[in-house]
Amino acid sequence: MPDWEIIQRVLKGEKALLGILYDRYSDKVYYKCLSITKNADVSKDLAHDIIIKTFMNLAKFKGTSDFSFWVKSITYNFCMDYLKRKKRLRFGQLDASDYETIAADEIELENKILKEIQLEQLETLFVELKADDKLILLMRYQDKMSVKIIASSLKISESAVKMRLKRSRDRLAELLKSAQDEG
Amino acid sequence: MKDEKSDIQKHLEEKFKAMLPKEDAPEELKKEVFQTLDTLNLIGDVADLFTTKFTRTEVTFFRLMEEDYDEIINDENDDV
Repeated sequence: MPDWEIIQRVLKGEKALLGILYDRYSDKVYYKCLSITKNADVSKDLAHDIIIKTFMNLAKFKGTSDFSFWVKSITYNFCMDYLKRKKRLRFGQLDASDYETIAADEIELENKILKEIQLEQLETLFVELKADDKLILLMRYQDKMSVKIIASSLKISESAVKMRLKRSRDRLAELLKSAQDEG
Repeated sequence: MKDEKSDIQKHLEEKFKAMLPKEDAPEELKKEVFQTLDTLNLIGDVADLFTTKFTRTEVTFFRLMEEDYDEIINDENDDV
């Protein structure tokens, strides 16, 4: 049964169908929180609140986009709020370097390094990244969110998103290079 | 340059996609979520009783009061 049909039936009173939505999305929500926070207890609490918020607001879901996208947006917003409270998110503090021009040869070098990254390496190195790097990389590469949508979610400009993405990729490339040099 | 960028985009998307999901949500989470929903529904029902329904009752009550008041005024005017 498609998500949209389940939601319509839940709104008409078939509350038991929420169990299907829970089974479809809870692991993804929890794992996303865990990827960002690295803390199982915090992730469980966040996942709880995210799922409750999603279910309590089903009437606001108009079906114009994919429900999974809606769940992801709520998940990222909750994780961002959590990181802001913990002062581990620095997206709000923009500086002049957010608007630097990126040199073409710099991008080329970064691309060359990252092109070699393998899944196992990514999984190992991803853990070492800072929370805000993780968040923006997951938004862009795991959930394929556009720069425009990321900008809107993080409340920063599109050029700032591009710069933040560039920096996060840089840090990932640096970690990979260090790992390769050590190996 | 553009092709190179889209190649790296595809490569990273592929690797990031493969990262999901490695750990399931804890089993007790489902129970906790549905318990919270039950509690919120109960609170909602109680709140509903004290807001919408109560307000509706209150409005009806005030309307009746106003009607009584009008009647009293009219009666007083009749007396005069």
